[in-house]
Amino acid sequence: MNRCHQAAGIFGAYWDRETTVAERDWLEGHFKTCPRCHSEYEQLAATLSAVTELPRHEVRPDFTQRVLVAARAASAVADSIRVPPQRSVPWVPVAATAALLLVVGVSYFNVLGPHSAPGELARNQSTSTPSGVPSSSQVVASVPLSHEPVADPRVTGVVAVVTDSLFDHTADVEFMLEPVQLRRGRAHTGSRLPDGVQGDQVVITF
Amino acid sequence: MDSERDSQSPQIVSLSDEDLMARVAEDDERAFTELVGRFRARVTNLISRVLNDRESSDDLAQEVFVRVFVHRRNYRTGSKFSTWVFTIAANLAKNEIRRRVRRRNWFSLDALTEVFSDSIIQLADPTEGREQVLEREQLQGAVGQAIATVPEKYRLALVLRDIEGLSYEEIAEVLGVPGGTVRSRINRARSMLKRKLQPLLRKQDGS
Repeated sequence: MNRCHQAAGIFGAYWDRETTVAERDWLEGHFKTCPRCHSEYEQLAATLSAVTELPRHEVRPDFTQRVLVAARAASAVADSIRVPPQRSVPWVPVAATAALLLVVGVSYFNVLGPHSAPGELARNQSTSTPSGVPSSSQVVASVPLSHEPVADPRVTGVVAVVTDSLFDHTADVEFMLEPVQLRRGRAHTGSRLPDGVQGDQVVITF
Repeated sequence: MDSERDSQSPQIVSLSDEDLMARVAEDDERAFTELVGRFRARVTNLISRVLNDRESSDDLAQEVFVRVFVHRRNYRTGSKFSTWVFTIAANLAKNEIRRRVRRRNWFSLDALTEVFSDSIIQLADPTEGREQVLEREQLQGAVGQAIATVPEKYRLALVLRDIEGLSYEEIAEVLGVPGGTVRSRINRARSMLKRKLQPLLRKQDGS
């Protein structure tokens, strides 16, 4: 019985001719002594023969042509970039927005008065930091737009922070200066050159 | 143009499936046509046997090749083309089976009869008698029907092995399961089929 169970376990491999020579010889020997197993295998073989002998379906003659047409169409769709349909501009919201902007503009002008200059408004606003600005440890003196001197708390050991009055501050300009220290009326920055490299030092005299 | 085609045709025909696919990836339609010619019968037959529906199998086989063309640049150079195309076909067939199960109109007896009558008419041996033709027709119809009633995962493995003749390793790659699982599924499918067809086969032996 155990041998029959073992035999049934390799029926599939025997049909596929994937058994080893030893397995094949053993199974064929078993078939000679066990008609039941032999009959079981014959039934399996008849079943699988019927499956493998099923006729193959013929393909339609225009199959390839139809595939080509469909493939071209599908490929064109896949490769194309979808553009959203253009919408006509609705004139009612546009007119309403324009009217609102006009009202806001007139109100703004009345509040500031006719003598207000663009520069005055700019002085009341904090300066924006441009992208790519050095880290806070590198920024030592940031010259504000107002003319009052400002002591930067981040600067330690500095005798004085000098404001720059040589430029017109009406424009929204920000200056980023290196640390400046005053010594007997002269200011000079520390060298950033590597050790052992000689070069000119920048000296700013006020 | 025609002379150019004639001069290139022998070259195209002698290329391997994988080399042809490399050309298809570079938008070579002639290489694609050659590949379709090589695989259309096998792909259609696979789908037809899995679904047991001739009409749908044509459309699905067409979809297989459309996908091959659309995804031509996703084909991994070095992998076997037949495995890739059978994977696409098997996935489409599985999706179709599941769609039909959802719609609960799976298995049309009319379609089955039409499929097998077509096949039998094509392959009928003129020397066979009417009785023999009917017997063979009955057997083939029963085999097709029996295959269609085997659960999907076993059926795909069985059709790939016993109808399309793929190796166990190829089937493992197509189905995305280990080789041991493939062997187990095929053995189970064969046992199911044997049980279903046993009465008919005994009857045939007796007659």
